Amino acid sequence: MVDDDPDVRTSVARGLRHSGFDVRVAATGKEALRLLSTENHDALVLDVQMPELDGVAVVTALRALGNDIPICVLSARDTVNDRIAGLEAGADDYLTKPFDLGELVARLHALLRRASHSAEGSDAITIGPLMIDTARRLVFVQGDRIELTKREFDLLAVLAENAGVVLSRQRLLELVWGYDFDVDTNVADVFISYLRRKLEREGVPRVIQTVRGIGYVLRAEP
Amino acid sequence: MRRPGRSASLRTRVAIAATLAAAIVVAMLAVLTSFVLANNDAAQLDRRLDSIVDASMYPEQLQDVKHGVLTTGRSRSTGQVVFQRGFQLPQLPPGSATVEVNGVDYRVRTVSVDQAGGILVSIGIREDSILLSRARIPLYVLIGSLSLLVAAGLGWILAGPAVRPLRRLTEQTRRLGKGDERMEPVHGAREAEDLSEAMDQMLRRLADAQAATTNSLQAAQDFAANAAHELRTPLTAMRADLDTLRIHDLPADERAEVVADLSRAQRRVEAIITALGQLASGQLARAEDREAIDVAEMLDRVAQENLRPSGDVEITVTADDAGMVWGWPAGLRLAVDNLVRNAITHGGATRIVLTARREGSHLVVTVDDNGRGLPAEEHEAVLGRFARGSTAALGGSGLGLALVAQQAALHGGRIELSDGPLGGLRATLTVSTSVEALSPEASPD
Repeated sequence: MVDDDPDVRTSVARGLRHSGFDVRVAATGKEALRLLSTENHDALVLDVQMPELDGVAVVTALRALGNDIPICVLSARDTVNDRIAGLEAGADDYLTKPFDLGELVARLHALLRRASHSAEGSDAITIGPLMIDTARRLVFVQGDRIELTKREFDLLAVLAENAGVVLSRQRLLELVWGYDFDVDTNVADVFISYLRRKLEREGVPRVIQTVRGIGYVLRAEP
Repeated sequence: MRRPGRSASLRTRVAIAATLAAAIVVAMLAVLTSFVLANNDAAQLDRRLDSIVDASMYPEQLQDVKHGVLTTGRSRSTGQVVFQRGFQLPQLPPGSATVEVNGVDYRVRTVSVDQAGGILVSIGIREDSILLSRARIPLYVLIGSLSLLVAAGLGWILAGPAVRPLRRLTEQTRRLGKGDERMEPVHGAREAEDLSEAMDQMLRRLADAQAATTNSLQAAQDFAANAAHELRTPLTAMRADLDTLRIHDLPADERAEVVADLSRAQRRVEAIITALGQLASGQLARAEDREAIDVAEMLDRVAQENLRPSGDVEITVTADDAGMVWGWPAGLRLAVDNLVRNAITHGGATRIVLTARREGSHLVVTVDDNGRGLPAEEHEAVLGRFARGSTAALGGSGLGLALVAQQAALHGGRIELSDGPLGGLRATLTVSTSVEALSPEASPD
């Protein structure tokens, strides 16, 4: 649990402890990286807005080091925006301050369950200009390799395995994040927008289609 | 900004142009007229010669009206025509007269001749001149109209350069707002120069005002975002604590700890809201709300209010010769009060010394404490809004010293932090004692 404000740090850590987690706290990004490099941790709750090394930098550093630890970022932003700082860098989910402690606990449990059994694909899937190598976790668009974060790849893989099937937001949250409970978040939509931005570069036609009122589907034709 | 060797005024330029146009027309007319008059003189002379030649050499041609010199002699006593050459002239008294004969005007001179018992001889020649004949009126009207047209044309042409500076100014003004925000100085006419200078100054003022507005809007936006973030942080802690209490059945001691944290976070929210209100009222400080402030009395009051019932804080005031200052009493007291509170709350001080003394045109208030102090590199940074020192206690608004800085600026002074002689921090608040230095418009930052 990383936050620069002592009150938030104390209260959230205490709440998580009472919910059965073994919590270590850090006041700065540097301290968090040091703790993560010396000890084994299962999940990270990270404030985005911190002086010096901020949350985005911590996520970027961790992912660059190949650390796949599930990360939930705490965003202070209240605007409805697809650009949630930290998610693009590779965080798995976000909560807006102030948040419901129960919500954070439920999501952490789900993310921890997910982390233990990552989806094992068999072989390559090809849809339109898109080629997904599930075994090596690689994605190609018209032959060019596209860099995706872990969560983005998981989302694309789920859509590809269900190609042609419309998946609701709820179903995506369940399949990709393991949120099998009622959850109030637009994190699936945010990640869909990230995926589209990365896959549709240089005039590549849209492959992730929106089915209004229902959800999303992966198919070459709209 | 009067330049040496000012340009001629537009009035002068237009006057010069008009004079020039008029002069050219007058000169042309003068040449034309003198030419015509000279010619006419010659023609008149020729006609007179013709008349003399006709009269003396070809009397038989005198019937010809074109040349005719009419001569009529009448007896003075009876009025009978004695002799006649050409048409008969009417009977006239001696002297000059103009008469009409057969539809032609003749100028007639009548003289008395003492011959044959006294005869009145009238001699007339045609009066119509070459120059002033009716037939020529249309020609003169035409010439007049033409010279009017020439004058107008010349005026048009010559007025162009005269008002060129104005036109340049217009063109430049038109270019404004199409990306070009500066005026090139216009030369040539004083009025245009003055106008261009005035417009340039106005544009500069507008640009400055716009920049100031943009800046203050930006500052307000940043401030609102900061305030929202600052409020959201304790609310996040409160929400987590409330959820903890709601979800888990905690033992009494842990429960008490959570509730204590909750009430501290709630006080923090309160403190932030109070400080935000104080900052806003500092920004709205009006000059007419200022009063004379007894410095020693104010410091005593601050000291009294900050004494703990337990008596573990000792506050000393030395302000005997501080006298009075002119300012906002509540604001100045708030500033000193914040400094004392900081010493107790964040410095953990048990001894605080308040000193006020005059130094030239300034009043200097120092707050010394024996608390844990503040690292020197943070002395400047903690004055900012929502900035907290590394040694600060929990629950502060992050606005206390920003408020002090705002009040210091309002009172024409400043706030400085340094290592104090008592082992803790020294806060030095300077306040101007001259009334003019106080400005509600002074930026608090």
